Amino acid sequence: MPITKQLHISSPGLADQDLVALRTAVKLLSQAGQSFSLEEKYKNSAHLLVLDEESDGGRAVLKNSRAGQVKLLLSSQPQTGKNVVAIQKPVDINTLKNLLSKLFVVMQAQLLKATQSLHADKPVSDQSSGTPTENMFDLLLDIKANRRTMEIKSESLPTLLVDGENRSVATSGSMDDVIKTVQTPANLLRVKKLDGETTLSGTQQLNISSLDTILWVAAIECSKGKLLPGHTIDKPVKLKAWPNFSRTSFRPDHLKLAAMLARNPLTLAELSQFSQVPYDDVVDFYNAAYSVDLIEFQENLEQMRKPEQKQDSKRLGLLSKIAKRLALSG
Amino acid sequence: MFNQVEKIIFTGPVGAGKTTAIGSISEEPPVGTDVACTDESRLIKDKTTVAMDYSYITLEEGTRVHLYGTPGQQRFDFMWKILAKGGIGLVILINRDHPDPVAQMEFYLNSFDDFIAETGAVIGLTRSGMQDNVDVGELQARLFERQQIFPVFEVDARSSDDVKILVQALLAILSC
Ligand SMILES: Nc1nc2c(ncn2[C@@H]2O[C@H](COP(=O)(O)OP(=O)(O)OP(=O)(O)O)[C@@H](O)[C@H]2O)c(=O)[nH]1
Ligand SMILES: [Mg+2]
Repeated sequence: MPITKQLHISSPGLADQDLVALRTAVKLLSQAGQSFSLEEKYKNSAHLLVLDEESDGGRAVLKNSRAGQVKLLLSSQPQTGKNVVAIQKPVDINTLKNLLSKLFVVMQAQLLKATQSLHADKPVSDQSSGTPTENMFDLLLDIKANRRTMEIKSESLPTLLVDGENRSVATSGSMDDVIKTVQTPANLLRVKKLDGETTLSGTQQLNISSLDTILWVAAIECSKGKLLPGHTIDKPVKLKAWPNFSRTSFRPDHLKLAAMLARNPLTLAELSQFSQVPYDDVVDFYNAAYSVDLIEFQENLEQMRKPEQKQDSKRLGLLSKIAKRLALSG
Repeated sequence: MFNQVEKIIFTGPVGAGKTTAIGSISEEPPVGTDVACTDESRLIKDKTTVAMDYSYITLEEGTRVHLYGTPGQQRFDFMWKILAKGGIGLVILINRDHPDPVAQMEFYLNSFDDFIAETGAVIGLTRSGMQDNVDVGELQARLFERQQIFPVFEVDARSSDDVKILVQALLAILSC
């Protein structure tokens, strides 16, 4: 299961020729193995904002953006500052490319560096957040809800740097390491809060993945059939979107549960009954889907329900034979 | 007379990975009609599929399930409906480096509207990491607006497991 190392750039309101230069630089770097994504709209979650300091749009975005977000400013009088790098206009593609390449290296290491300047370790249960955290799922959910930035350490496993603001998780470890950390009992985890502002330096490679990807795994691993507090089994719910199953761990039954919940609003009790999937597994799936914002609550149940489809058994037999033939190798 | 032919249809724009995806899960390399590109798609790739791709998988008791890929170039779209008729379901592949992936997804959803209503569809977002012009979330949002809650998975068409997950999701939809 690969973890993305892509750096997300948002470049709202650039002039055409600057945008072309940026696109070209990004393309050249991607070919050389530094992967960027480029979005022309403003994205608060982007790792890097590229703005024209002298355009109205650029100035407006600059004013409203997060202080911790790294910016690359196009300017006729370039000046650098904290989290701000500037480049001379008109933009030279090669200069831009070299600058982006440096930023790429530096930004991958940014979160890791932050670990060195921080408070003392505390076990999870000692945290002053007020939310009881019994396991990694509770902890990550709290980080997401309260936009915290935390370092999570488990004995002999690579550290996780969880950024609830940008909804990302950085680690030098693999996804397997992340899963092992997620499975670690809370009393063996060490967590500490990180400062919002961090310095850019260092060169260690980090794998960055979305917080939701890790939350999903944590929900499945840690829920153990225990429904999230405040949720009930008799309220109809529907799936707003399917989880990205190809890039997250899932159990075979999850496809069935997702298909049913995407089609019709159902209570969790009904979902378990109709799918014949054990209730505990239904709850784990629900907790995961809820925590990554895929659940929609339905009030007008009867109006919303689609009629049950009559499936003939011969057809179902064929579909299950195809599924068996195309079983995953893992 | 003829037995019913079981088939799964793969569709999507030029270069989305249809030929590749079929090849990833089929028992034989797709019999295609790939030719050197001569028109505008040459800028995108050297070879394109005219007519269609074809290969198959065999189930344990010998039934063959046929895998068809539509030609990506839209001047061949008259063939799509003919190809899809009687199919089990639709796999739509959209390459993430396409300039407008959301519009492409909608184009294929609309083109196969009747077929999808009778069966179901899944969407595979291919070719990640080159020029990611869209996130899975943006495609999901558009599907939500259309009230078509179909799976959207990030896949590498060269990976058989990735393509299998897509087809597994399609089968799950068709089974409920
Ligand atoms: N990196 C990457 N490359 C891919 C992926 N899918 C396909 N490719 C490559 O993209 C190119 C185009 O793939 P094809 O399978 O020929 O695309 P197609 O949809 O059949 O294209 P047409 O027949 O022209 O419509 C090939 O070089 C593939 O190897 C993917 O998910 N990731
Ligand atoms: Mg082809």
